[in-house]
Formats: sequence, C-alpha cells, structure tokens
Amino acid sequence: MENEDLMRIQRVSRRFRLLFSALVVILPLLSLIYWLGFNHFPQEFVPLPIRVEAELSLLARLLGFVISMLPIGVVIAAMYILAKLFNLYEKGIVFASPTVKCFRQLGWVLMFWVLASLLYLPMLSGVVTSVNPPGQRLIAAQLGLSDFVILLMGAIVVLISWVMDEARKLEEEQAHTV
Amino acid sequence: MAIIVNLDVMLAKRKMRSNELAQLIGITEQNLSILKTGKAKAIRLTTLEAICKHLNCQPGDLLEYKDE
Repeated sequence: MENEDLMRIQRVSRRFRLLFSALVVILPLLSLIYWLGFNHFPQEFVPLPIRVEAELSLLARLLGFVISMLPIGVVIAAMYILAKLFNLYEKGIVFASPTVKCFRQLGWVLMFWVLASLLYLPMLSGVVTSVNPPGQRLIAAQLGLSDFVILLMGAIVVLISWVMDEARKLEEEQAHTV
Repeated sequence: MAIIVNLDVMLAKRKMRSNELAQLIGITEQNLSILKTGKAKAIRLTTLEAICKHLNCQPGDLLEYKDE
C-alpha cells in the first residue's frame, strides 16, 4: 500500500476510533438519563408504538433501563469492536488476524442485535404499560423485513471476514517472501 | 518446514557477515534474517541468484530437503 494512502487511512481511522470510543460511554449514559427522566419527556419520545397512560415508578424506570440495555448493549459491543478495528487501522495493521476477528465479531453482533430487538419490545412494553388501567396493558412484539435484512447483513459480514482471512494469508505470504 | 535454508552455514564458510550480504544483494537485513531463521515462506529466484552469485555457490548449497 502507498505510504500516503496508508497515512490517510490512519488519519481517518483515528477520528472514527475516537468517535466510537466516545459512543461506548455516551450511549449507556444517554439511556440512563432517558429512563430516569422518563416521566418528564413527551409521549413522542417513548420508543414504543404504544401509549403510557401514567407516570412510571422508579423501579419500572430502572427495569426499563435494564431491558433497553439489551439492544443498546449489543450496539455498545459493536461500537467497541469498531473502535478496536479502527485502532488497528490507525496503527497500520490492515490485513491481520485481529482485524479479521473484528469483522467476524461485527457480523455476529449484527445477528445478535436482531435477537435482542425481538426480546426488547415484548419485555419493555410489558413494563411500561404495567401502570396502565386493566385492559390497556400490552405486550407488543414486532418482526419486520428490516430484521431479516440485518440478519442477512450480519451473515454477509461474517462471509467477508472469511474473504479477509484469505487476504491476510496472502499478505503474510508476501511479507515472508524474500 | 521440510526445506532447510543453510544460509548461515554458507555465510560462515565464506566468512561473510549478514549485513554485508544483505547490502550486496539489495535486500533488507530484516528479510535476510527471515531467510536465515527459516521463517521465509518463499524465496524469489532473483534473490536466490544474487545470493549464489555473491557467495559463489549453488542453490543446492543453500537449500536442503529433510523429510519430517
């Protein structure tokens, strides 16, 4: 790889590493702030296709936070892996075992995200509507085309990691050709 | 690997230092070290030719096959 190209990759990677590292910290904090102040936010802020009729107790809000950490936790894992990947790119390590591992993990994380989303909605809807009057308590579930698309994308990323592993072998061979 | 590179033996026979040979054949000392330590996965014919030329030897003097 040309030195100038590599330097450009390293420069951009540094910015992305900083961004993803910051998101690893910011995302759970934002979620905590949201759930602690849940009762003060307008209905449009509720991340569910249902109405919450009364104020939530502290326990319900903490439960909401814990449940919302299911998908957010998966997103944080993805951000952490991306930060690790860009850290490697920043060091000029492009086709190596750790970068291949990052790609494979990202693929699995995408697939886990679909699973976490499937669990998230029924659990959260149960908690936030527990304060509703009888007859208006709901357990919602949702499975859309986007979930299948994300599942497919995850599988494709895992496949790409296999292809990258071949590139790694080629680069290793190239490095050990005298 | 079943192929053994006897470069260090040939260097000793010719009383030549690694860095001197590296300079003569135009490869880095690091690459010559890869070759000497048996970590090399492949050797270019041009590199082999240059080593043979400067050590005044045959490829067979440098490479040996041992059944593992």
